[in-house]
Amino acid sequence: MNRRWFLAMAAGAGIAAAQQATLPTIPHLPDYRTLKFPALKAVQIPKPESFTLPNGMKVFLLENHELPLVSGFALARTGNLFDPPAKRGLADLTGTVLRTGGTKTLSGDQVDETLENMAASVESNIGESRGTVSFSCLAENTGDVMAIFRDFVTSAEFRQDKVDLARMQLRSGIARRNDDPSGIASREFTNILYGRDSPYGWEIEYEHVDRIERKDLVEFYRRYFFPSNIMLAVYGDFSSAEMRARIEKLFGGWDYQQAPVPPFPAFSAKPAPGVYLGDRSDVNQTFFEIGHIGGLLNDKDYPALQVAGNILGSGFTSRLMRRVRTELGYAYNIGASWGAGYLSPGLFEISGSTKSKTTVETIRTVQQELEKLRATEVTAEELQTAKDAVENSFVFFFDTPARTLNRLVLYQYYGYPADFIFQYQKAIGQVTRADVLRVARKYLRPENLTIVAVGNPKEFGAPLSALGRVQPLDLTIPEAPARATGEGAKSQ
Amino acid sequence: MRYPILFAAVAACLCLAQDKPQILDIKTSKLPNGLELVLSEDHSRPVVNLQVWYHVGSKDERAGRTGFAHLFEHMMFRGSRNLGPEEHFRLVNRAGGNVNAYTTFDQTVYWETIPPNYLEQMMWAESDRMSSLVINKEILDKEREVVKEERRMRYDNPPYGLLMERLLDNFYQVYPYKHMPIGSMDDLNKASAADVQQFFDTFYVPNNATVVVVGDFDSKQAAAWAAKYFGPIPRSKNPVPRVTVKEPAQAALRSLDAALPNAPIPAVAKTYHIPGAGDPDLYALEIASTILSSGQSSRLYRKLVYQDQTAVAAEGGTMNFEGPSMFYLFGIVNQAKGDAKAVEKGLQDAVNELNAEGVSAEELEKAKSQTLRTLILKSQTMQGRGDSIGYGAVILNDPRRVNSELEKYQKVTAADVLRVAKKYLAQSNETRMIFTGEKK
Repeated sequence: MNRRWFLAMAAGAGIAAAQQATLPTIPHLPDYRTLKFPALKAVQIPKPESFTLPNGMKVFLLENHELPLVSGFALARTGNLFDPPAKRGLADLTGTVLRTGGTKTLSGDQVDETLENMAASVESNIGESRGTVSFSCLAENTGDVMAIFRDFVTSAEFRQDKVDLARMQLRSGIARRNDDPSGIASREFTNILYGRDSPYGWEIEYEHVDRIERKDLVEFYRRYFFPSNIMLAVYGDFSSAEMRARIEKLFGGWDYQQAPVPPFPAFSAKPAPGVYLGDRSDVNQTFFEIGHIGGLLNDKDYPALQVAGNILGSGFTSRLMRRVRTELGYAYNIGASWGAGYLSPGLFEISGSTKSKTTVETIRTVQQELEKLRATEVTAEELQTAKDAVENSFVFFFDTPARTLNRLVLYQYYGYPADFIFQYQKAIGQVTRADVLRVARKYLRPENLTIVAVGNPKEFGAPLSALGRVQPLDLTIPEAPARATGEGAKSQ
Repeated sequence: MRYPILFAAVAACLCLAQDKPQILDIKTSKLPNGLELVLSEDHSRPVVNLQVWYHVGSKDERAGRTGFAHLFEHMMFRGSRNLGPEEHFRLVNRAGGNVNAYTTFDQTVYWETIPPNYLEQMMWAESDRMSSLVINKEILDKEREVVKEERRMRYDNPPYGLLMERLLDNFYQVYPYKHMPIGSMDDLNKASAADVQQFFDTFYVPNNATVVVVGDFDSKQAAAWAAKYFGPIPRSKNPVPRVTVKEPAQAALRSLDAALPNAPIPAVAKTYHIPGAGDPDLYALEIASTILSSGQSSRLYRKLVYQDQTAVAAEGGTMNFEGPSMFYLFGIVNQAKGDAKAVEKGLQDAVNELNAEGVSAEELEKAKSQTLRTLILKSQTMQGRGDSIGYGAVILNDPRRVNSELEKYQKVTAADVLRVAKKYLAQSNETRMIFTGEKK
């Protein structure tokens, strides 16, 4: 937790949507439709230099001298999808202690001190399907910081005290997981859809954390952090020739190898439509998630689904926002998106919150909007707005070297073509109103929705059962078995 | 031996001189109706950030009408004379840009980040709502409900959502920072269309507005558009009212325990009165807060979270307002090993240490490096620059402050830090609060 935590509580309040008005034009203003714009300049995408070290590590460099900063990341093919079922949380802990546990020569605290003296950072993390070690520093400190970065990539030490601390923090996260009602809704929704017995959807419990020991972290790290399993990307204020020489010096002698990493476990979701209730008697608003399994980024209908999702629920001009927020005043926040992953399906997800009383009405309105999207074609203007938004936002995809390089490296990592973004751009341009209707009918399935509501059912204006048979969610946090140590578990 | 040391010093200075945020070229002008225009061209990326700052925030609300500045901000998206439902958003969306607005204690800001060829259109749209906002009861009633949902979502239900509201109410005795921009449910219910109209006529006038444009555009052209679109809007007949109430000086420690809904673990806040924006002491106070709490090698984190493990989070900092401001230390109890008393003591020990021994040369250098990095990162996006320039222009009355900010931090000495710590972090100036969960 950093210091922004406190300030975030005082942050200013946010924004709104629009309404109708028919008044005469003011004399000094022309109608905006008569304003003429010059054409947008073509987007220039910088080309990174790339090469492979003899040990198999792929390297990408992108020079950019705008700011005196150098940053980079090592991307390792790993992820919590490789967690053993009995030791869920292993990847997460490995990703944390990789950095906090220090290197052979410096403890994690000493590294903190050293880096913070240079206003630099090195961070590590292992998510679902990738592991990263990243760094960022002022250009003048590149040599010192990259040497520390190298040590973390090649020889992290996983000191015991930081293993213990990370385990305590993970346990405390489990104990606190029901504090935030909106967190409960999105967690349960994800787990139900991906399946509680699958690494895509299972929950980490005390018993799993308590089984994990330092040697498990070290083994996990050694299995996945080896040169030919890593892509290294560096961007910022340097000369490419010098950086190449530096990287060859830092990583060239690292000859540690392992067997190739197998593919990630296959995804096999079983739909679980229904209405689920998380009972929280102490809140005055219901947090809801509605949807089903989505698709992949390289599905041929993905661009049309993206447009359909945008029209339904992205931003203030979307149908859900207009109806639920602007017209009815039932929600501050509501949105929908067609989620797509690189290797496994994302989620088609509609989420928001409303005061307890209007829970059922709001969910019904969402269902109606979904039906409407499947009943008739969207308007030409809706289609054009959604397409323009994607088309014109292209400059923002490449407005910093970090974004440019991230995107290119991720495509390579997940086996997507380097020009995938341009194929997508082209496909968006070709989406028609008929396409949107066709994909809405084919992929959006109102009869198959998983509806999760977390709130105080005593205050609901109409019973949730009006939407179908209600299955209560068990939010109890299972206690650790007797052999576990520590403060023990408790229920919500 | 002397030369090498001298050389080392020179080399260090040169390095530091190299790694600096870019000096921005900033042009200012004023229209005859009082509207301020601040322009900063940079053609390195095809992006423009446009911001319209109104010098009005929650502190300008009158009693019984809290939450008004923010409710009003919502109304600004509900249509104007030429723009119907959702049209402001649609214009920006179709341009592929981003749009948002926010209301703080001191200012209300509307911004758009857009491809450069849409700048004229967005200046037109901003001038349209400045000159002709649509206000009626029906729209107000709908938007009021939306704001109430926002209050429930952001404050009533998340863990510690109500902490800041309670804290500020106790910290200030009379100054209108006592209440949060979101306001109270009761006051939101009381707002009438006539109130909203009066608020608009009083504060949403060109002589209370500053237009900031940063990025890939032509200054001459932008100034011409500003004159064309904002120029004809008349200035207000009366001067814009300002807060005149003074927060009385505190004479002795104030201490209280507060029961808070949804505070899952007890939390401790130690808060101190400090001066408002622009006061030279703030630079040393911010350096002090960086040393206390920025990063995991900071004093508070190392002591309370790593060593004693009495807290799961420990931080400190300044809450900078235009008017009387706050220095705070804050910790959340680690219930496995500590309690509120232990956390309070840990925080007080840190204050005592600072007041007795000051800070070391290394700590000072580290804090300055961190500040430098923060300033560089902030200047990385056009929006970050727009934020800094707007803040300088509206709150500090110095649009170019962004260019001299670094130097002011670099000049802070260890003696300065010790002096401000002793001056402000005194027990007689402290309000101490311990928050625990309400019994269910």
